Amino acid sequence: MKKTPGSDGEGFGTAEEYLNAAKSMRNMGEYDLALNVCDKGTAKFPNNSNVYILKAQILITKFKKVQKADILKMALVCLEKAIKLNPRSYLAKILASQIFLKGRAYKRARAVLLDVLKNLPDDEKAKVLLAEAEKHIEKKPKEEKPKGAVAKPTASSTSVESSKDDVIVLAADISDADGVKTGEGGQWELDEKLVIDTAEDTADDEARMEVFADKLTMFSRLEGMQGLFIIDATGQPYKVINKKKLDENAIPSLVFNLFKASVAGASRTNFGSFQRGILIAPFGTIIIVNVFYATLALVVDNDANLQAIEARIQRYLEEVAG
Amino acid sequence: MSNLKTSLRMLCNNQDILGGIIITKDGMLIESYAVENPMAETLGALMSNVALVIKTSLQDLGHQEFNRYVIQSNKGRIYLVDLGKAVLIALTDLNIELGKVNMALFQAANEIKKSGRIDI
Repeated sequence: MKKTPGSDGEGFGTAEEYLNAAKSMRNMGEYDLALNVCDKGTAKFPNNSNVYILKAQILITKFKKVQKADILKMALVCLEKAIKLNPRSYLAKILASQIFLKGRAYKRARAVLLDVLKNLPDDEKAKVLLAEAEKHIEKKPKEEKPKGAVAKPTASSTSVESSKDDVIVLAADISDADGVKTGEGGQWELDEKLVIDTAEDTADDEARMEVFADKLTMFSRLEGMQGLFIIDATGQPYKVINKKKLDENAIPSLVFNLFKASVAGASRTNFGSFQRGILIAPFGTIIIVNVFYATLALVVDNDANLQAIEARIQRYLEEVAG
Repeated sequence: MSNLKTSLRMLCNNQDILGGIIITKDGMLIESYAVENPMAETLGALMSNVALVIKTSLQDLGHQEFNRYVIQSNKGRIYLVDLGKAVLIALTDLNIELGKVNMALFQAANEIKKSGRIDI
């Protein structure tokens, strides 16, 4: 007998199904169940960075309730995996930088944020976080090293100044999230004032995204269609229809980062508000559409009929707006 | 008048094209036509960010160059054409003859590439 997908994530066919089930559970406050679904998702789709990112988000939310530093370390491990799988992931880097800031690993936070800004030089969030990291780095040499914050020396620990950073290095070096060793986890000296913004979507966002995803069927019969992506405001794919085995890590990151850069480019040159981005690349044409609180990306063959696609996009926008 | 300026002037002979600039990959302005400073510098800097995102992302997917990228806003369009070591940027209104603009961009890009000046 064919098994039907259950709320525990058994039997889901796509990574997005795991993501959406885990998000629903998280929004209901069922963090352990949500983490369980993420674990099943990572087991089934070990190369999908988005499930690791969601797991990290849920762990951070859980940390906010229980205030155990080990949970943040586990989140960091998930984010490192996500970044390894998808080096352009904006959300993974922003979350990792905030954990570093929370753990007072300011140099590590700065390194991650500079990496974000290398790709998105105008990103306001990264700039604000970088300023926070630099403020502490400038202040740090003047301060005395606090008692009890000594980490085990590692190959990279060379000075008193970097001792706290090395605690994070220990956590960051753990490669297997499931087998995370907490070790001397209690030595993490967290910045109590800093609140990590997990950029979670709310139940309202979820309902909206569901509408956006439901209406995607109107594109399914278009000739030359390679894939469709609905990407939420944090850059995470909500729905993916992948007909040509497109890279589900790289394409959503490309779309999200390009969307951000294009929005900044259009508005700061007085060209108004961004509506579409059309990228003609060697493997196909990517059409990026601003859909209110999300981004729709269509990947089509380079010889596809763009006028027919544009007409369909217009109809789609009318329907989701209505 | 430099070859690049001539190519841009010819591009802007198309009535739908409002202006054009050529930038290096890192956003340095090489040449502009009908786009005054500081607008040309700002446009160059912002569009180099866009080109950088495209190039780095495409590298992850195993490709080195893109053909073209168009940003469409409620006021007009910004075209980016990959010239290898540089990027050609053209500004247009919203309601344009797409075919003619595409042809003009294609010809201008070829002219610029042939001139070899962007290798300097």
